[in-house]
Amino acid sequence: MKPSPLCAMVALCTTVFTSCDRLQERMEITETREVSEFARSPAVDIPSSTRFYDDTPAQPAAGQPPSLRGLLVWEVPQGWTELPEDASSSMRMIDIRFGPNNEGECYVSLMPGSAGGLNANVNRWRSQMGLPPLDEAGIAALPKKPFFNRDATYIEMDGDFSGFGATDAKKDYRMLGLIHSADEATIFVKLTGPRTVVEENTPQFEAFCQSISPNSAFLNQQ
Amino acid sequence: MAPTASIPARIFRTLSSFGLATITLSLLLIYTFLGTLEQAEYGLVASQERYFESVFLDRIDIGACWRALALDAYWDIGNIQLPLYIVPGGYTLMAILFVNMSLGGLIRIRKSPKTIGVVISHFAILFMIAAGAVSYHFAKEGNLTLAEGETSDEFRSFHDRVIEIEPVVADGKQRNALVIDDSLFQDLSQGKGRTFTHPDLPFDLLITNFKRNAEPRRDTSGERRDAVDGYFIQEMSTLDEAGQALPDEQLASACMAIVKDKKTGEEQKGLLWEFAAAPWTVTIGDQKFLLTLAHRTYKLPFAIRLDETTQEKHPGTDRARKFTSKVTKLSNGREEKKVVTMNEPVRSEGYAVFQQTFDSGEKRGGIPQSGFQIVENPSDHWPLISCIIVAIGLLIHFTMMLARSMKWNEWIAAAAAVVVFVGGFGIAMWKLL
Repeated sequence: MKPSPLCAMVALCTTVFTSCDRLQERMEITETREVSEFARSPAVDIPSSTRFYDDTPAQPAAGQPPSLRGLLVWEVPQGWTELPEDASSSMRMIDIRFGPNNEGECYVSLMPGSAGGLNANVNRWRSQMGLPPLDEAGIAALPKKPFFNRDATYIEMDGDFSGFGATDAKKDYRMLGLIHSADEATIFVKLTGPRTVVEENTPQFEAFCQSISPNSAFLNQQ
Repeated sequence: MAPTASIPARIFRTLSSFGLATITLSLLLIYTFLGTLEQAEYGLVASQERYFESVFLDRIDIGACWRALALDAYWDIGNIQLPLYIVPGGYTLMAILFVNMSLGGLIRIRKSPKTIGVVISHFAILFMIAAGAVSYHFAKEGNLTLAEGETSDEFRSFHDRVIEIEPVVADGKQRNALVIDDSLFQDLSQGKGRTFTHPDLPFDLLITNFKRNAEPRRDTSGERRDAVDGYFIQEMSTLDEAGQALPDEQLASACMAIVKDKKTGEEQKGLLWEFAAAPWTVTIGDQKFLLTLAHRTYKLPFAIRLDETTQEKHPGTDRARKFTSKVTKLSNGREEKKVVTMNEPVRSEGYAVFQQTFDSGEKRGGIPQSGFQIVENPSDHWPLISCIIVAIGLLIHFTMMLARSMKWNEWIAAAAAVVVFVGGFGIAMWKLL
């Protein structure tokens, strides 16, 4: 039996009114909870780039928080070029280019807290290289290198690199990285470039990482 | 002609019938099979929700089951789903089974010395079903990670998510948060929205564009209408490269939040993401609010401080043999030392604290940390008690049958069997604990 025109009209009206109501529904919040006295202090006014671990370069906007570069001292390896501070994103404390056509990049970034944890960050980088995620055992088995007076997790992987928000992958790339994670902050050193260029610059990367240390003069002033 | 039974009598007969029990148990068997197969692509939590916790079963993913059986190697049938409408889900079936066994296995059953064991076993199975219901409705489960020296009295749910709105208050003041349960926003996919209000808030909160697994991406084109502060929510697959469902705890949900000032009507938009490094800060006048999408936080009636955590390895290997945590329970100004180790939880005030993970801290500044699984389940021991009662019931039943055939005194034989069983079990438990 065919549906009558009246039925069709009722169905159409129901659909239309339902669609209109899709954004109109209101509900009162009834649940509350007391935050523990042991909970960490809240992080207030954190920019989206930091909240979302966006480490791609961007033009700094007016009103951004002051640079954290003063916290560190470092030595730029011979043949590497450090970008001026105003060309870096707020995420990149140190931003360096290397290679015949400056196709390799290396930067240092700092995030508040554990920054999502080591596992999430390692697997985020692996996904940028088109590699499947590692399980906990795989991440625990990653080598360690001394960095900032502690052992940091060292990552080395080959693949096709797609940076944050990139649509096309860069073929035959290598990524090197160090992640030093603590409760207060997590510091990242990340290097990417064509595999052959990175192979040539691996000793420089090691030397650069070892040169990074806290700026005691700056810290004493604060 | 036999007199026709009254309607209540017919209903009673149907509800207590063997036929209903057979149909219910057969469906549960089929659901267990299908749920296990679908788990490969949907994950444990989603599969459990669909087959075992649902009032009605909405569909069966034939394609997923087909692939789980590896039959696609011979014939790929693609994504075929069988929609269902009035088929009872696992929750309904368990309720039917409970009613059926209560009426049939306790009330309608012929009561005689011969059936006493069966009645006891039926009672124990009902007790097991009740334990499942109590656990489903009232149990809380989550994890708590502490570094040495750290104290906490909260734990995070494994699977339940919430949106929290916390006003920023001066240091030292009590912090409170408004909580929105995920059942109130996880249906708000593209085009659907819901506004949440509270008399104490100077704004209304509209939640929309919810994604179960997503990550924020930068809007490089600058043309996306759904971009907020230069970022948009990119939906991600819930399957890994092998087509297997990612574990629920690896999924990062996200949504768009629109805050509308009650006084001025001014709108602020933000993206909430489960894995975000920090909350979204909203400023209304001179007051700030933090909005977070995170796993639900539960409060413990006591605090736990991790004093020391150690790991024992199998000799000559890197394989962990045992993790142990020395903790202090802090409650009402009193301190109590406890030791939590693998398979030996600490139980206190209705909560069980299990040692779950250990981290030497090499990757986190050298401070070791322990992960604890916290469980609050009022029916924690009910399944064990139920199994013991089932065993006793069946032991009585079969011993009495044996005694009858051997011309023994069936009561003495049954009593002796129960004494031996309970004694043996008691000794075993004493040795184990």
